[in-house]
Amino acid sequence: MAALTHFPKLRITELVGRFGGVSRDEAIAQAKQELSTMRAEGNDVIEGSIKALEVIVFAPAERSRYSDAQLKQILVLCDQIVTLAGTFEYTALDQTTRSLCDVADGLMRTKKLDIASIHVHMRAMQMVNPKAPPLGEKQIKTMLAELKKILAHHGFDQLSASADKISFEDVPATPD
Amino acid sequence: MGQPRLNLKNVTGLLVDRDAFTRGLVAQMLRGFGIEKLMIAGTGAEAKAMIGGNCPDICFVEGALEDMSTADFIGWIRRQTSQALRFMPVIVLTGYTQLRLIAAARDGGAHIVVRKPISPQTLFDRINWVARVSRPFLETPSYIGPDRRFHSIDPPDEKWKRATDAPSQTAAPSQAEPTAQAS
Repeated sequence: MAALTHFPKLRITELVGRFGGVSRDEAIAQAKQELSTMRAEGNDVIEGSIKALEVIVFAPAERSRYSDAQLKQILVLCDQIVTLAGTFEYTALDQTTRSLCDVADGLMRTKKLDIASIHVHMRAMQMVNPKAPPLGEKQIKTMLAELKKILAHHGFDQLSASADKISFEDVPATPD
Repeated sequence: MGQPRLNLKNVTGLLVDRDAFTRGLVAQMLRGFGIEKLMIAGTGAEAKAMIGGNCPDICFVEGALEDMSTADFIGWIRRQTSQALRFMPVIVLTGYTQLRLIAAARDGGAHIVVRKPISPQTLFDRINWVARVSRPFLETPSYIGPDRRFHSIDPPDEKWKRATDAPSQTAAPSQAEPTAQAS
């Protein structure tokens, strides 16, 4: 089959250009307003996910290691927390959870045995949970610095580093 | 210059995400932008069943579906006979732990990948971009989807294959004119 190139006319192009609609600022303001109504529910979901995470983290499959299924489950729950923490601008929780993602992802890829690193992250997440008493800026800074040391100790890649580097545009394309 | 205006009132969106709360978040943002018709699914299979009856104008799908790979889901859309469906803009929403799937989503035929957490600004700009920027759509034995080339990048060794490829030849028409007259 030869390569075909189409130049499609999209229905959405015609629809969005119709008279009326909203400007960028109006749309963003409306969307932010809609989101603000979900903050309380978001906090509940974050708390629920942290609790679900605790159940897995404090009951490893073996004495010194988590099973791959458990690590995958940790990543799924963390992903949700990162999304919500980022959306509602809980910076400390966002960074702590990302760090846990980096460690869990690293443990899964390298098959290293380590439970303590995950436990430390879990405790940190409990402290920066939006429903917990707020920590001071200095305490958060110290805590995040300690979490960074764990990652450095294992020599794991930061998913966050790749997150800043990878974009849709610059992933090398496979030839057609 | 004025801000871009989007009239999304009559646009039908399809949103696929396994997480109910994330679905709610994105749906609220889209409603805030003015989208009134939203089809919401939790799995790829559910989304396929919904598409069977209606053809959405834009699709938002998470980077790692529960029941199938997102690339497979997009590939299924791209192989449909309805032109409106196969050319439909697909925006992939990828979570922090799904970043390694970006290349797979792109090669599956997605229009663009947006990293979660999604801000209303980012989402609005991406919708505006996919709706307004026309991209050729390629159909090859191994790939069906929008042209993946975003940039025209200089060759690493700066050795151009054709004389006309060199930027100095095309960028400066005033310099090229005398040559044309001489010939």
